[in-house]
Amino acid sequence: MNRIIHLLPLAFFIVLVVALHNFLDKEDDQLASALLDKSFPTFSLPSLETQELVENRDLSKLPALVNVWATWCITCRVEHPFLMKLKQESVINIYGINYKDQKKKAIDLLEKIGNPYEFSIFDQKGILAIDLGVYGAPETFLIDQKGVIKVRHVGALTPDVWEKKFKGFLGSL
Amino acid sequence: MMNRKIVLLLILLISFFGLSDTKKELYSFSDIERQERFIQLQEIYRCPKCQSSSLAGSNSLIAKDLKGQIYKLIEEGKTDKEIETYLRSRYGDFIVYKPPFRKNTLILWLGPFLFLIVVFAWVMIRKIVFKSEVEDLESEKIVKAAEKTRLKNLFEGD
Repeated sequence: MNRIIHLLPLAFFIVLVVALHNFLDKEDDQLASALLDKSFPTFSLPSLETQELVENRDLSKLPALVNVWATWCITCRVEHPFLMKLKQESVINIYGINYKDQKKKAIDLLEKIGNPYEFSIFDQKGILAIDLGVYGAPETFLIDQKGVIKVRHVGALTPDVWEKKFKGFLGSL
Repeated sequence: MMNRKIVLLLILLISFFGLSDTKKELYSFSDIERQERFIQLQEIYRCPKCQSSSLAGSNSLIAKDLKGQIYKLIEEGKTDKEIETYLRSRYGDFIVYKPPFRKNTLILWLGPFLFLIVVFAWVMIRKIVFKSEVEDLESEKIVKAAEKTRLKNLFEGD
């Protein structure tokens, strides 16, 4: 009896370790989006390319990706080739949100390295980004036919991330 | 004496470096109460980018934008509650330091009390067990002493 009692602290410690390991060591340390399974927030902002106002109904070719990018964002350059690949192979339509950027710089960059987007929403003040719960570029959202956000990824969209987080959803849409 | 003067001088010099940090975004408020709320609010919300500092303590792009947004909402006459709803609907529970009292946060809120109860119970049990052990020893002693006198009497009576 006494021996068992003396083992209790050890048992408690082990339970604690296992619990903390499971709670804290999740696969990715990204913040869960508060917007999952919610509609894409309403917006009315100029398009980067034409300066004309675009709104929710202009995101017409759904399902689609919405990708937050900027010329100052280095990681965005990392994922750019993969976005181009998605575009060229017509895997899915991509809309861009040009986040807190300079118009000319952004247009020049897309001309130079290629434009994977149907169009980019020019969100200079980061208003739409805040409505989306964005906290840093790049971020990518998957939107289904009804305009509901299904997946959110913070950081570069790599082939690996695509396989793990996005592809499965695409089949079910 | 000389030393102290040098130290004072150094402290004075160092204090100038503090000035470089005062170049912050300036907000002008329509009344002082709103300004105080602004100062208070940016302390209780967490910067989603840096994850370990408040909005007030962060100069990241998103923290600046959120501060600007809080300013705007305050000036629009929104209440603290409405501002919290605004932030939470976009950034989730993470944005607040104080977690909500919900089913999946129960352990967070009640855990410490549970732990306290367990420890208290543990101490009480130990105390009772110890006490009974002592009592056993004591009664054993008394028995032994009685035995001793009985034997002594037997021998001496002989």
